[in-house]
Amino acid sequence: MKELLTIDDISVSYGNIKALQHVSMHVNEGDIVCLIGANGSGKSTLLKAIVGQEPLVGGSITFDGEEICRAKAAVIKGEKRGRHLTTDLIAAKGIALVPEGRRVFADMTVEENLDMGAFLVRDDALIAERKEAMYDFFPILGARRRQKTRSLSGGEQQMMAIARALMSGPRLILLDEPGLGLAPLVIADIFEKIDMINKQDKVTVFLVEQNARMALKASTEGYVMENGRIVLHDASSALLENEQVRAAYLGE
Amino acid sequence: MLFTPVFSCYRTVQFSYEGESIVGIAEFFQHLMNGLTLGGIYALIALGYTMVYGILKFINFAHGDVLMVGAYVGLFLFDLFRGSSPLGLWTIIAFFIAMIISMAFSALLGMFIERVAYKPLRKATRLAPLLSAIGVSFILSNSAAWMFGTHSRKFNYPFDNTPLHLGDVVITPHQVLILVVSLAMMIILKLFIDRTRMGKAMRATSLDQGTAMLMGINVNRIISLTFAIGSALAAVGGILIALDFKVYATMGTMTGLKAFVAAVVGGIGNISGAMFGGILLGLLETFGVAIFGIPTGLKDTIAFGVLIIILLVKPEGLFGKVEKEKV
Repeated sequence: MKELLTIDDISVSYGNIKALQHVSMHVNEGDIVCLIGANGSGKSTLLKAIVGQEPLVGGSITFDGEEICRAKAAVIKGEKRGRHLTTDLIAAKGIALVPEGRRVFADMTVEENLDMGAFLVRDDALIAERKEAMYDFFPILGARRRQKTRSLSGGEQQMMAIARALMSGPRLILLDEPGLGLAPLVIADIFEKIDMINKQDKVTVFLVEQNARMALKASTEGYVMENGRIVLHDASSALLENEQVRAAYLGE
Repeated sequence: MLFTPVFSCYRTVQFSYEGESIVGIAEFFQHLMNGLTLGGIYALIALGYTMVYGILKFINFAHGDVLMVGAYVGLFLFDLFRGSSPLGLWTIIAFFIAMIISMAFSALLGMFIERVAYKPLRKATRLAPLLSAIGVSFILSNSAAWMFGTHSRKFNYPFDNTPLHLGDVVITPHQVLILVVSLAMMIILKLFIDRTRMGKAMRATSLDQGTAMLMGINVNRIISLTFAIGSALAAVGGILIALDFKVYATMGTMTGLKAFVAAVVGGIGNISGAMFGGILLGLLETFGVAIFGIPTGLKDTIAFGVLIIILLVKPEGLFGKVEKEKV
């Protein structure tokens, strides 16, 4: 299967603190891949690095065969200069991030939020068609399309954030803790939607979660992160059976 | 005269003090008209402050001087286009052409200032761009004084300015022009911000810059656009003031500061707030002098008095939201 996203030996630092150390991983086209780990292990930093919001101090990130980020210090193929695409250009390549804490545009309506998600789609008919598809997919958003997003519940805002990301027609969707702070039933609903997005719309999903059980059940492949390093990588079904994972993340 | 209770100027129409009517209806409408005219101009200028603050969280203190440049450009172009032709249709058209070119010039100037003086400081301390803005302000006003002299110039009227009498209320044609143009500009801006793709992207950027980038919005371009629109509106404000007063190198200083107060009163960062704050300030200044008996010499203190009261009572402004510092 084709590798859509390749993360090659990247490191990120905040001052003296090493947030990510020599992280390598890949996401195959069509898969749901998850990354689990404790609070503060560097999961969100990894996603921010992928979308160009955290500069790399080492390594490179390749999306669909094209290098989107490379650290300044890394000397690869004789090139000495680091480079990275800015976040808006990375979005234009087809990567959509649903950020941690949803980050909806609270003062804008649901419809306007979706319009922003489709900022790069210049075809009005296509935007209208996608909006209708989103209102079908998340009926609650259709019912609230003219409401300011701040009036939505946490679960509704999460669905809005996912719908907004899908409006750009991405090839890869990155989800940062989609279940954070939500009731178990709402989380189950959201994970069901994520699965449908993957199966029906053929969008590759990279999922970051603290809720390890939900994430591993939903995904095909999983990575485990501890203190900014990848410590385990296996099929999700195997990780569910793994002694270490069971003890540390599944509470068994 | 000083008897008039505060904030009930309309009621004073029926009230009288020792049998003498304090303010007649005609006089009230006269002041209302004058206040709205002044307020419309403040509102146009206040929009530039508030839009830039909304996105960059910084006060562009050079905004008032962009207004002055816009007024000069408008004045020179109008005289050039008009030549020696008599007042008539052509002079009105020439006035609007001069205004549009001045808007475009000021928009480019605003974008240039941002690119050269503010963008390199975007990651510096918050004080740095503020000081840079004050520097740009001095550079612009001193350059204008050097190039055009320190005397003030009169903006020639584009049409006959014989006052019109509506009953007892006297309105000059250029007051009508000021009202119509400032109102039209505000409506166009509001439609642009609310309805268009780029307008919505501006709002999204001011709400959450990081997430706006995730949507594929080029934030640098949005910032340039914000400066362009704010500066173009300032140019209109400058030309409209020039019709009522004079054009001189430091004309932007006091007007700019007052428009800034208007933006703070309305809630800085809030577009409707700036419009409302500008008009409110114009009305307060006019009525303050005319009805509340504030001496004309102290007219300029009204705005700053209002600023102090707002900062004490409602620091986020009338329409502003309390911003929580994000950790």
